[in-house]
Amino acid sequence: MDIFFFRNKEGSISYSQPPCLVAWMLGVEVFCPIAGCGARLASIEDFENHYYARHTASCSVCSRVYPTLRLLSLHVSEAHDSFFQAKVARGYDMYECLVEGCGLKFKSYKSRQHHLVDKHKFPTSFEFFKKALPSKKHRIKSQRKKPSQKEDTSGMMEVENAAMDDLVSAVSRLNTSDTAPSSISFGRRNTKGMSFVPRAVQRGKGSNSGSSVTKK
Amino acid sequence: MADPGFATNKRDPIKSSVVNAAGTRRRQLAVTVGKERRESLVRAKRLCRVGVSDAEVDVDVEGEMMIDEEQSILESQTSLAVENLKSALAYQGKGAVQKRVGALQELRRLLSRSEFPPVESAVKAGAVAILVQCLSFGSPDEQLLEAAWCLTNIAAGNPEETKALLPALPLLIAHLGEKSSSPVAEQCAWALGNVAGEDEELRNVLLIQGALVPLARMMLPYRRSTVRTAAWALSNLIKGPNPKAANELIRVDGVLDAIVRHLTKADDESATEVAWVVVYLSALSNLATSVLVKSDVLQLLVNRLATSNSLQLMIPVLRSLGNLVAGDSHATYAVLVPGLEVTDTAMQALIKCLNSEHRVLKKEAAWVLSNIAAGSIEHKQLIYSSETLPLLLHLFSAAPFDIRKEVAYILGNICVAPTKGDEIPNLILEHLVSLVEKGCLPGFIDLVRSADIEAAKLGLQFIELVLRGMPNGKGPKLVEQEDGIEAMERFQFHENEDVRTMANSLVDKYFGEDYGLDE
Repeated sequence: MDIFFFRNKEGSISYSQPPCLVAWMLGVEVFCPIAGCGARLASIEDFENHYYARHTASCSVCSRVYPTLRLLSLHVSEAHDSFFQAKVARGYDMYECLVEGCGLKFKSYKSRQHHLVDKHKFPTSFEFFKKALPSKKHRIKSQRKKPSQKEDTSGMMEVENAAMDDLVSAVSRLNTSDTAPSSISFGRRNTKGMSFVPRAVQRGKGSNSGSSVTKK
Repeated sequence: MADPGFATNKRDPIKSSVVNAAGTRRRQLAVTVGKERRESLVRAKRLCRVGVSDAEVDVDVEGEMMIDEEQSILESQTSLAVENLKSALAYQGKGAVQKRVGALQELRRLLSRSEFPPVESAVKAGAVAILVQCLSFGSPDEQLLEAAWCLTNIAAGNPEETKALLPALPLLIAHLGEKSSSPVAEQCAWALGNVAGEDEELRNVLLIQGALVPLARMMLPYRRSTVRTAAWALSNLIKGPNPKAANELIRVDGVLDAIVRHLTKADDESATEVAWVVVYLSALSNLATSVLVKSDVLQLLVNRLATSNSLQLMIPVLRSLGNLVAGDSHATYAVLVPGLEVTDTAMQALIKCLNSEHRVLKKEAAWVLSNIAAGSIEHKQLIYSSETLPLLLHLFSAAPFDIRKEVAYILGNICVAPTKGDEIPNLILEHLVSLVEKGCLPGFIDLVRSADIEAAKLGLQFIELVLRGMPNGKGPKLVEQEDGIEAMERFQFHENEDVRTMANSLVDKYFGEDYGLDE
C-alpha cells in the first residue's frame, strides 16, 4: 500500500489513499500526516472529522480554513480573485452578505460590513475577512528574533503557519485593496481565484512599515 | 367535510356547547403549556461540565474532581487566568498554540469544575473579547473547542452574563458550519443554545444573524451527541413566542426526515430533545402542524409514548401529540381513526399516562383525550366504551382540580354529538344517562362552585345537558338533589356576564315558578 503525496495544479495536497486507511495504519492514536499540520487525534473518527474539516476546506492559495464552503468561496473571491476586484471597480455589487439566505450584495467591503451591523446586529468591531495584512511580527522562521510585544491592532488572530503568511503577504500586495489594481496585470482572467503566486514575488519590496523583522 | 376543529376555533365559546369550547382552548393551552415556568428554567440553560469530544482529551486526574475553593479565591484565580490568556494570545513565538490552549484550558476548568462557576469575574476581566479572538477562522480545533466551552459556561450565567456573549455570536454561528469538526460545532451549538434560552430578544438576534439553518442542519447527521445538542439548542431558538422561527424551521430541507428518523431510532435522550422541537413546532406553527400530521410523526409519537418509561421523554412526546391533535383535525379524522392499530396503541399509551403517578402526564393525557373526544361519534364511542372510562370517573372524583377540569371536557364531549354550525348540539343520550348514573354530576356541580370561570362554564354546560336531556324530565330533580340550584344561584349577580347569563337562564328555564308544583 503505497501512499504518496502529490500537488495538484492549484497547489493543494491530495492523498492517493483515503485518509481513514492512512489513519488506521498509524495506530490508534493518530497524527495527521498532512505536511505542516501535525495535529494529534484520539481516534479514527476524530481524524476523519479533522481531515474533512481542515484539509478539504482550506483556501488553496493562502491555506486559510473556513468552517463552511460558502465562507471559503466568498473569501477566495474577495481575497484572491482579481476578476472579482475588476467587477468591484466597475461598480457591480459583488460583496455578498455573510448571512446565508439573506441574498443581498454590496459594492464594497465596508458597505457590506455596515449592512451586517445594521440589519443583522453584528458587533461593530466585527471583521470576518481580515484584509490580508501580514502580521508585523511574523516572518520566516530563521529570521525571527524575539516575539513582538505589540498586539495585533485589528484584534484578529493570525494563523500560526509562518510560511502561509509569506504567501498571504505576497498575494495581498497584488490584489487585496479596495481600489483597482491598475499597476498589476495578471494576464489571465481567473474564475474563483486559484492563481498560485510564485514565491519569488515576495522578496525585496520592503515590508510594511514598523516591522520588527530584520533580514540576515 | 366540515372541519369542526378549525371552525370552532373562532366561535364564541360561551354560546356554544362543550364541543366547541374544547376546540377553542387548544391553541392557548398548547402554547401556555410550553411556557410552564419550572420546566423552562430547567431546559433553558445548561452548564457544560464534561467535554463534547469523543475522546477524553483532557486526561487530568486531579482536575476531574470538582474544584472546591472558596469563592473569593476562585474569583481571583479566574481573573488571573484571563490575564494569562491575554498574554498567551500576544505571544507569537514557538509553542504559541500550546500556550494558548493551555491558558484556555485553565480558564475552562475554573468555569466548569467549580460548583458556582466564577462567571462574573471572568466577564469583568474581559474574557469574552479574548475568547472571541480565539475563535477566529483557521485556529486549531483544540483552541476553538476550549474557547467555545468557556463561552458556553459564561452564557449559562445570569442574564447580563449571557448577553455579554453578543460579540461572539457571529463567529459561534459560523463555526456551526459543515466543515467544522463535530466537537467544535457541537460546543458552539451548546453555547448558542444557552444564549437562545435566555430571552426573546437574544433569540431574535440569533435568528437575524442566521443561526437557524446551520443549527437545523446539525440535526441531520447520525452523530448522537451532535443531534442531541443541536436539537436542544434549536428548541430554545424556536420557542418564540413569535412563530416565525418555527415556520422557517419546518421549511428547511431535510428537517422533517431527520425528525422522523430520530423519533424512530434514536436513543431516549436524543429523542427527548427532538420531541421538544416538535412541541414548539406544533405549538407555534400551523404550517408545521399540518406537515407533521401528514407524516409518520404521529404514529411515531404514539409508539414512543406507549413503549417508553422515561418521564423526560414522555413529557414532550405527549405534549407534541396533544398539540397535533388539537392543532389539526386531520390527526383525529385521518390518523387516529377508531379501529386502527395506531389508535388502539394510542389509547393504551394514554391510559398508561392516566395511571401514572406524575401529575403532568395525567393532566396532559386527559387534555389529549378531550380533543379526541371532540371528534366524530366513533371517537366518542371509542372513549366511552374503553377501559379509560372507569379511570376517568375515578379521576373526576379524586384528582386535583386541574386534572378534574380536563376530565370534565372529556366527559362533556362524549355526551354531545359533533355539530356542523352554530347550533345547539344533540345529545348522545346513552352516554349521558350512563355517566349520570355512574355519579359524575356532583363533580360538575363542584366545578360550578370553583373560582375558575372556565371550570364554572364547563359545569354549567353539563348541567344544561342534564336538565335538557335526561329522560322523563328527571334532570331538574337530579340537579336539585346535588345542590345544583344553589350552586347556580351564586352567579346571579356575578361580575362575569357569560357565566351570569348562563346560570340565570338555566335557573329561570328549569327552576322557574312552575317548578315543584307537580309534586
